Amino acid sequence: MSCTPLLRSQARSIPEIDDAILCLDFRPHAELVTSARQFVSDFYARILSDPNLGSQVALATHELLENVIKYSTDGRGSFKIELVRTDDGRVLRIVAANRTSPERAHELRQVLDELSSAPDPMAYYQALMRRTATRADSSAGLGLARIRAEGDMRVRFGATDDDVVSITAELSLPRSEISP
Amino acid sequence: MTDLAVVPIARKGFSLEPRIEGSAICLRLSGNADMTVVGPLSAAIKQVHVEAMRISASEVRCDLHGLFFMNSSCFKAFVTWITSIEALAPEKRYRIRLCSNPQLHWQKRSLTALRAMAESIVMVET
Repeated sequence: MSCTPLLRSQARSIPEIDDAILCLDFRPHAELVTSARQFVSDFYARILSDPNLGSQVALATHELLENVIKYSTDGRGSFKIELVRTDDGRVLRIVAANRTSPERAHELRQVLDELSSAPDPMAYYQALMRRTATRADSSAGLGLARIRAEGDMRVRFGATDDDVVSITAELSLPRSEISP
Repeated sequence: MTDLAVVPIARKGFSLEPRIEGSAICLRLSGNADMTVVGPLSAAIKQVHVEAMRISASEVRCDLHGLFFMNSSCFKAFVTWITSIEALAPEKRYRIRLCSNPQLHWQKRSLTALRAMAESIVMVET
């Protein structure tokens, strides 16, 4: 499989973290996912003071990139991580987008609607673990529930075009969690 | 010494080394358990379960100190394994001891989730 990663870091310097953005626009393959996760992990370890948070971002990165590989109908995907200022503080936002089939888009919307409306992410995750244990398909949404429960991130569905879908995962950061 | 019918995995980026130690089966997992190893890992775990029952193992110890990451599909293989043990008659059940690396932060959250599933079967050691 051809692989043409384009890595663009717009982080001008570590103290100027308001608009630290990483963009990946590429044709991912399985081996590249681990490399991307490690890069993201190293990058955010420099920005976030709590290594646990960097680990949460790395987990979401890996799961979302694998989703792109599994479900992209043209083999391509775009991936963006940004640290943005909001009214409530800072948010680390990951957006993964890819072209997919209408059936998969419908299924993904259902999975994410169910996931995001669950009042207790950990209880939902545990229930899904039980539900998927005996299913033949690989993980059946477990990765997204994992991002929500283990990563403590909000996860939502988006459709930017007829057949382009996106998954957004957001992590709220207290100001103290950002390295000076 | 009893032979163990579990096929080791030795791939670029991931390995699983099984061995018997007393009445326990020990597995050392290293590297990255990602989508490239879901099939072999799931198969190995099924073999471990069969072998644990065959030799009446008291526990299966998983050394995860060198396991940098596990994706959700590989994680699911552990979930399926736990439910297989739960399905056994109580006297046939064995424990899974997960020996974790506190420096690898994902392990704390993921292994806690596995333990929460079946506290009488899964133990997490740091």
